[in-house]
Amino acid sequence: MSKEFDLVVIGSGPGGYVAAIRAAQLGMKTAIVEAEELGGVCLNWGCIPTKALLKTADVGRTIREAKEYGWSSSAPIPNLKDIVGYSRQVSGKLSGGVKFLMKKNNIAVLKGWGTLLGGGKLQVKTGEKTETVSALHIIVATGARSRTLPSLVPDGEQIVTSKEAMVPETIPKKLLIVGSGAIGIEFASFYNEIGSEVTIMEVQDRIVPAEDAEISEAAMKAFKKQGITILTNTTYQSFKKQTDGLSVSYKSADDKIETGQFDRIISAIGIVGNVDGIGLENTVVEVDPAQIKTNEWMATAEPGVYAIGDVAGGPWLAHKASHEAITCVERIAQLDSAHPVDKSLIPGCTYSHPQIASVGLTEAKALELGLKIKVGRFPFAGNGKAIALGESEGLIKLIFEEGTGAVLGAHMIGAEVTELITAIGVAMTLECTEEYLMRTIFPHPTLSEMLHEATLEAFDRAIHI
Amino acid sequence: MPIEIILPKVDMDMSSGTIAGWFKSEGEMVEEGEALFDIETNKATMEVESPGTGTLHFVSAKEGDVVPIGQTIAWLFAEGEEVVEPAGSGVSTADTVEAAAVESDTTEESMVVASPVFLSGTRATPLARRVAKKLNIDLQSVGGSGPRGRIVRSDVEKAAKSGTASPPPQTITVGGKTGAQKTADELGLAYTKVPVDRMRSIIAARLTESKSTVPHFYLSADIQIDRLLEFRAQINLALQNTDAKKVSVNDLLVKACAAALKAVPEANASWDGDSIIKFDDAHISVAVSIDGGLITPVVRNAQKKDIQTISSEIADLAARAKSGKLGSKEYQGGSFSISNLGMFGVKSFNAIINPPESMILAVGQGAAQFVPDNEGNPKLATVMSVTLSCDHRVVDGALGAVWLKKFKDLIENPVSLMLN
Repeated sequence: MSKEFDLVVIGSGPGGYVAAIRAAQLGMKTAIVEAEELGGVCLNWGCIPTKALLKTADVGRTIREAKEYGWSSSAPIPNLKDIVGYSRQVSGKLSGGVKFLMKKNNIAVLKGWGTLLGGGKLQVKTGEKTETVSALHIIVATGARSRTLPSLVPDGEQIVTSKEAMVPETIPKKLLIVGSGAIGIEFASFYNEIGSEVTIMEVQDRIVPAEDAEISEAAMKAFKKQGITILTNTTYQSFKKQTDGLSVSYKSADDKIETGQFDRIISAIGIVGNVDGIGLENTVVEVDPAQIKTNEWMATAEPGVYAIGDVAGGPWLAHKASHEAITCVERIAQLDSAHPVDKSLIPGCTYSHPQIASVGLTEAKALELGLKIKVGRFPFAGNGKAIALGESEGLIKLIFEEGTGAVLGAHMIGAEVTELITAIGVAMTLECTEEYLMRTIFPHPTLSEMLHEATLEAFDRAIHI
Repeated sequence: MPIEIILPKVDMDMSSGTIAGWFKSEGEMVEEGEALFDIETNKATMEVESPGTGTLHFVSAKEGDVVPIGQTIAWLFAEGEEVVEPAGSGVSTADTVEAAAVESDTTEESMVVASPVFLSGTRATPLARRVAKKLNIDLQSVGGSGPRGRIVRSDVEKAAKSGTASPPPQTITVGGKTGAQKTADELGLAYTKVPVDRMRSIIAARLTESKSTVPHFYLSADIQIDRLLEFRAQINLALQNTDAKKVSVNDLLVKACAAALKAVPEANASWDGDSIIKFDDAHISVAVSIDGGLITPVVRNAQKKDIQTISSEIADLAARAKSGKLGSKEYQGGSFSISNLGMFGVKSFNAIINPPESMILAVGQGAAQFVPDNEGNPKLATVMSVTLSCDHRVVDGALGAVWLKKFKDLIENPVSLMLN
């Protein structure tokens, strides 16, 4: 007799475990299949451990700058083993938290590798042992992993992906980061602070190319000021291992082949869905090319099989996965409150120093769509709290639709903007107009006042500028 | 703490209500559950009971005031409680609320004088409200897809695109004059100006929406009703020495409509944008003319009810409709309407569909006529003309014709109305 469930979730990341908990709340008999630690990449090898690393970088920076605030201190020395140790400890704590949540919600945790067998059946393999379970509904939440180039195959030592980059044994002297998305930028920020000489290589004409161009420009300025080398319009070509490191050749902005010396490379050129080895071939699930195709309710072409999170396509963000989990499970449970994820309202955050956050349309995209817009900006330099914090570098940029006052997008760089962005996310979800943002009373002194000022500024009413 | 008395929402459609009268006056003692005041909505007058016991103070809405729902209109103070005016007292009538909203708007485009339907009664996001104003759409004609039916921007835009939305009911523009008045003034014609009340503006909006967005077509038939009249006479003869009320021709027509819908269930349906809602039961809306307009109370599950039950329900609904005592659920959710103007001597007429229903039967007067008998000789018969209006999106010509034939057969062979 095989075990029978209402719902089995493959993968326990922020998509999978949220789906399992919501299903359990709705009274489904639920199981979750996980081959590694509970929590997936997010908790173990992504969002959380990198935030811990970046916190240690902040501590180093604070000590380094202590004198400006009237404290004397000797120059900080990073103890890499303890820095990594702190990060692993945080991950361990949170993974334990997920385990507790599974138990609390009576969710069966099936440790092993899950493979779809078709017809609502699933094989879970642990070592030599296999068991077959059946489920009315199966959610594939197997996540994604780093994409690699054939010319930059990771060896785990000198050529690494994000996973190895967050548990370094030594501090590289000269570090090359290929790719300037959120992952690349966060590592650049961390390694720069612990003493590496960091170079970022980006094929496009600006770093964080998904962000608003003005934010990219501000980020470029800030990182250069911190001593990070930025090569845009530059294409990585190949590397050669030498006795004293790596010789990297790349095509520069003016189309010349140049070489540079590094002793480590982090490949951060994007990620790719985990669609292999999970038995998709036993179903009619459509895969294109490394992501599972779903409809807006996360259903695949195979009845009873759903896909959420990174494996179902971008943006590759934990909160998008969690929200898709809720959509998918509530739809299965036929709840009236079920609603598809509105992809135009997914915020994106980069936790570098300075932080970068955005939601909605960039200025360029809004114009490309033919929308008439009003743009409001407010610099950190004009905000009392920012100055007191010693964080006077940064910008808040809000984009409104002319006529309706709809908030179309928000783009921010500076201290704690990853927290500020939520306010605009709420405003956009509730369809606030500029009028309601203006009416909202923002507490003083806070960084959030800049949201108010940027709104006023869009309508030529800013007070502190 | 004094108890706040607010204008409650007593009807799904309402955003504001008129204070029809107070049963208690300032300083008077009120018991919990006692009748406190009457609210008049566009469709009915409702009695509001006191939410607590105490002395009534700070009554800020007087008889005839139009007050938005949720507005505090008075306070109850418990014995010994100090009578001090609490914060948040005072009425802003619908007009002043609207004026305030207009004033505080920051863009020029929004400086449109809105009709009262933009008030708080409709659940809509600020953005949806502003887009509706720009597109000149009545939010009440838009379905909401947000949490608990909240109208969001895309709902308004979709409705505008698909043409299912209607413009806001006409209101008199501040400082301006409508076309009729302007012409009359220019020509020096005498007139009396009657402001449009809530019921009239709802009727105007609903029927304008129906006639301009629902593709109507009409099917007419002459029906001999001599057997129906005889059938009715027999029923009433049987009821002669009982307390039961006599059955009217209209009662029998309602029964026949329900039976015909049961026999042709495809016609018992409503258009719903991306789907058609087919009702399991026949809910017959009966047009009742009332002071200041009309209302269509519904005989629920009429195909399951016998003639006498239908007859007494119609009598009760009509009586309560005329006294303004209908609950909102009693005039909503019909699947078919019948409108009978035969008593006014009307031969035949075409009725406007009562959305979201798909059919309405317009019934004319039964009149004596010569009709050919089987041998071709003139025979005197009582003939009634009926016209069925159909929503072509749901009911095609053939389907409407099948329904009408069934209806005609039932009327001409009325004994079958006894069968369920």
